[in-house]
Amino acid sequence: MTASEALLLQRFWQGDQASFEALFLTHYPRVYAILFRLVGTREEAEDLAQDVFVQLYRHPLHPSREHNLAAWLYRVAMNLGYNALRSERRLATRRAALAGESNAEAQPASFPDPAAETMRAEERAQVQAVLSQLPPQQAQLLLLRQAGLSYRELAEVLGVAPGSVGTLLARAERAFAAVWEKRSGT
Amino acid sequence: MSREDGLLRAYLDHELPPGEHAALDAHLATCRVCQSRLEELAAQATLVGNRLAILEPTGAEVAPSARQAWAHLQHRVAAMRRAEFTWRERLDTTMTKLFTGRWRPVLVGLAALVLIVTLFSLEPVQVAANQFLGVFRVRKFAVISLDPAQVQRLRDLEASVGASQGFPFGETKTLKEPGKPQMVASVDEARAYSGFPVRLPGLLPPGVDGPPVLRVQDAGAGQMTVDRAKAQALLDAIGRSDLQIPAALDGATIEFTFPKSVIADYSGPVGLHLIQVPGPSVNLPPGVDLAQLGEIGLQAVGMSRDEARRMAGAIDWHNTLVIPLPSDMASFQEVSVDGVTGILISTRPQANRRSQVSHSLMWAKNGIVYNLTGRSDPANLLAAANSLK
Repeated sequence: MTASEALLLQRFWQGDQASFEALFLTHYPRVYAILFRLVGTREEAEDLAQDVFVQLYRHPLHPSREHNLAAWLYRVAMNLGYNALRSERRLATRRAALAGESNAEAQPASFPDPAAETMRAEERAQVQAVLSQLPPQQAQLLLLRQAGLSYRELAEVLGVAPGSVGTLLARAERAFAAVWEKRSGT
Repeated sequence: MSREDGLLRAYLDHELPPGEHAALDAHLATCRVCQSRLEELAAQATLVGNRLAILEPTGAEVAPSARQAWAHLQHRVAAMRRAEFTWRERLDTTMTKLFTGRWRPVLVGLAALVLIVTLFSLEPVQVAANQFLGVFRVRKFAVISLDPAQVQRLRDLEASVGASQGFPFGETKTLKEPGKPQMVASVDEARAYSGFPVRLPGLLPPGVDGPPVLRVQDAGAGQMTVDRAKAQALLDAIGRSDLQIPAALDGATIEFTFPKSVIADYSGPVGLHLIQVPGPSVNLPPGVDLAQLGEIGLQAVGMSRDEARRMAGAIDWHNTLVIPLPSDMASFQEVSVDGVTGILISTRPQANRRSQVSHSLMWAKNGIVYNLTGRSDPANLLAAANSLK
């Protein structure tokens, strides 16, 4: 965390809303991007990203302790995202939304070809199905790494030693490849 | 998988410290086995990366502008603040509810109690020293100040789980439904029905009219089986994803009983409400270390690790009802009442609120817990409490 971010956290702790805004604007895009990878729909990723910052708003990080705000946000995002995925209701909504989006009503400019979009939705569902078969830590590691987190950030978010990230990542990739292969082969 | 795979994987991502990277470079130049393994890992990483790339948001899925999202968040924050004010208005009745004769508040009160005292930890190292059934019985009170932000989160949580679903961190079973409070005609009848010596104030504060309406609430009992996944979700929901529930707690059963209670309601401009009940008790599974549970519970309600440790060490958890109090809504002090030490809780005056300041006394004597609440000033309330007979 940069010195200026520590200062923003301290000011926010003291009630300064402008500091909260600055922190939000800095971190929101990546929090959203991570959640989108996890839940797969824009609407739900937006809702959950909002929830992450509502948690920060209600529970400001104490300035006397050293915090990695980004790691905290990603950890909360992962927890909220997985809770949402676990919920049957959300799951049903998500499926409906995915099906709806695959009907090409939402983004005609980006995906003019309905067939291509359907294929894309199927591929996504396949990747998510593979991830759901991995232990949560492995799935999270893959998603967060894919979203561009450094090993140090990954270690903080997942609560593991930085030196073990390479090993865990290689293991998660091997597990992913194995499940993928098994699914493709059947 | 060997550690070497981890080193090679980190090497691929340029995540090794410079010295280690250079050393591995040199090693790879001469070691064909490691070169070959590196290629395999690189191929695997590429394959997985390509598959995962499909999850990236594109086109209309890309994040809305952070500015737009910020505007949306501001609306939510404003709504939260409005809800908080509504909740403040309800606080006047909170203390009353803690011991009032309805099942739901009993459940909520005990939920708060169990949340704080017993919820979150079973420390394996403590098991050997605690191979007995721990019995928790209320004899004393301790008040902890809650961060208002945390209060809001707990309130949201209560709203989201709803009363009918009981504890948000496990499965509950009502062992005995207490039913509706029964009105009784006299103190003697209340005593006969409740089975404990019922006392009433001999001296009423100005603005309080007697005689009281007396009701007896039958006993209730319930049982909760901890569901670790639900409890962890609860911690996540209140923003404490950093606290971890030990696997050993999963499936633990906690039983609680709430004995018959007697409620006396006085009318008059300032009103007076007296509840007396033999100390509610909670039976814990073997091996539960209350101080450690308390420490985690205190963190869950917003304390820092150090504060929680200090506080947990100072509380006699086996006998103390811990009352979480929002620091911006009420204050508390220890007082001498009815010959013992009790707690006086006073709501803070709220700007632009119609509600008046109220005070609530809580104390325990001879195994009976008393709660006396009213809008009288504290001196008059204390005088009434001291006149119980």
